[in-house]
Amino acid sequence: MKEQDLKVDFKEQQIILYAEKEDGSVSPVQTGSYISKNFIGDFYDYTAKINYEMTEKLKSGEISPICFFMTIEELTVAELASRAGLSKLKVRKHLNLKGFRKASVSDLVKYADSFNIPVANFFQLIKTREDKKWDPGYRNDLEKTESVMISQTNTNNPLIVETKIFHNTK
Amino acid sequence: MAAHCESGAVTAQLNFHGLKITEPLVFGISSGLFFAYMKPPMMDFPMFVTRSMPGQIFGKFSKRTGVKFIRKTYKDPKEAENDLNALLDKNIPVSVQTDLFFMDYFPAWFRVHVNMHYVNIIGREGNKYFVSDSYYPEIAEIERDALMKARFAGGTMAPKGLMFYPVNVPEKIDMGNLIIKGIKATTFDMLKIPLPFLGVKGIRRFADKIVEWPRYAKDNEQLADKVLRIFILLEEQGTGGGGFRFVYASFLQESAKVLNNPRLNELSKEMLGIGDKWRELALAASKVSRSGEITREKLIGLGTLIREKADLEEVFFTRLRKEI
Repeated sequence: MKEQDLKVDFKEQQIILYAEKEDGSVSPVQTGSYISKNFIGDFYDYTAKINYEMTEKLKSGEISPICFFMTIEELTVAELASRAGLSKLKVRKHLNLKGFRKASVSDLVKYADSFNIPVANFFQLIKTREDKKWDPGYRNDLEKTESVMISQTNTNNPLIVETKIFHNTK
Repeated sequence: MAAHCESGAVTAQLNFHGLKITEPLVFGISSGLFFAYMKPPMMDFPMFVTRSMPGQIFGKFSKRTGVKFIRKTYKDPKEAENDLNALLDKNIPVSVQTDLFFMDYFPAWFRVHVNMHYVNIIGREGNKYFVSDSYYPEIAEIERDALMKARFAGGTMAPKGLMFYPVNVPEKIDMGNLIIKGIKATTFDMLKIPLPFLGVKGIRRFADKIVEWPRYAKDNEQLADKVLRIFILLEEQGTGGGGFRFVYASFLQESAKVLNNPRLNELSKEMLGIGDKWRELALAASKVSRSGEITREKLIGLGTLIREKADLEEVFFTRLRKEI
């Protein structure tokens, strides 16, 4: 692989690849990510489809919020159980709404930490608007639209998060 | 930036402490090149890896070179934090193992739950830490809470607060001897381990088993996503390209100079060619992923390309073994 063959113009994600340079040395080359540049649209489409399907199932009561976040964060039951410090049996029970209602607050805190979301996000869907299309958004994923920004800030109470929705005046 | 997080972190540490060494040499000496194909119980889908187990680059480098690292894991996050802060306050950079998902200086689409991401923490200010991350082009900043979550995430290969840093780093090491040890270990790993999912045998297993992937996927879209990940795992998830084969070619090129063995230079070029073939497979996988329905025939086609790599690497590593 020659250096000139692998350079990709994509500032948003840079990686180091090794390639043969003109002087014959095989050394590191910094380049944009080929996959991100050419497939990011596919990734967003696929992710949006999953998010949409799971959101509809969540709203209809087919699944619990635990199942929702587990799916979109691509965790298995075993992996989530290990991360949250709960048994696999318990996690499976919490995947449907009936079982989720019996989850304790301390269970929810453990799940929330594993998913990196505030506990409050198990009980609400925060949507942003972009090009007349509503998309679900969640903590640590600031949706930068032309007019609206969302931020969620922890408070000293681990069960309370401050969600701010404001117009971007910049 | 570096090609790979673990070898990048170790290389940066060694250079900081006065040992001039490149990432390919660290990678090759620690016999980082490998292949394995498996379906772990915790995963819903089969996976393959192109390097040794996480932690082994640092571990084997230390063992083979005699460079001593202080290595510690923790049960108590507070103790881990205090130890980290104490070292940083003495201007000692520290390598830590993290879950990439919590490294929020990356965009959300980049962050996945992977517990084997190594970074160097190089300083702190108030509640903020400064991070030298092989996959990020500048010094990044991360808040205390996020770093603690990253260091103590549960799950497969949980970090458990692991941190390490070198002590007593010599200015020079017996590079020639270490290169030979590293090459011998890699050729053994690729050719001689008697398990059907490791080394060259593992590549052949991957070739045979890819046609079974549809039974693990819930629909064609998920299958297409998994096929696309072949590209990501080979080319862009911190491998330097070609599933680490290009980094290894660079290692062999440097080895040729150190050992004054021009044959290793020729083998380096051969490894470059093999890396190109892996890249062709990656590109083919990306095209298949976008080609509509992922049929059995398309998967058989990918299997054929994969099997070709097994044949090439069997010949290559046999030659390399004889050369040392």
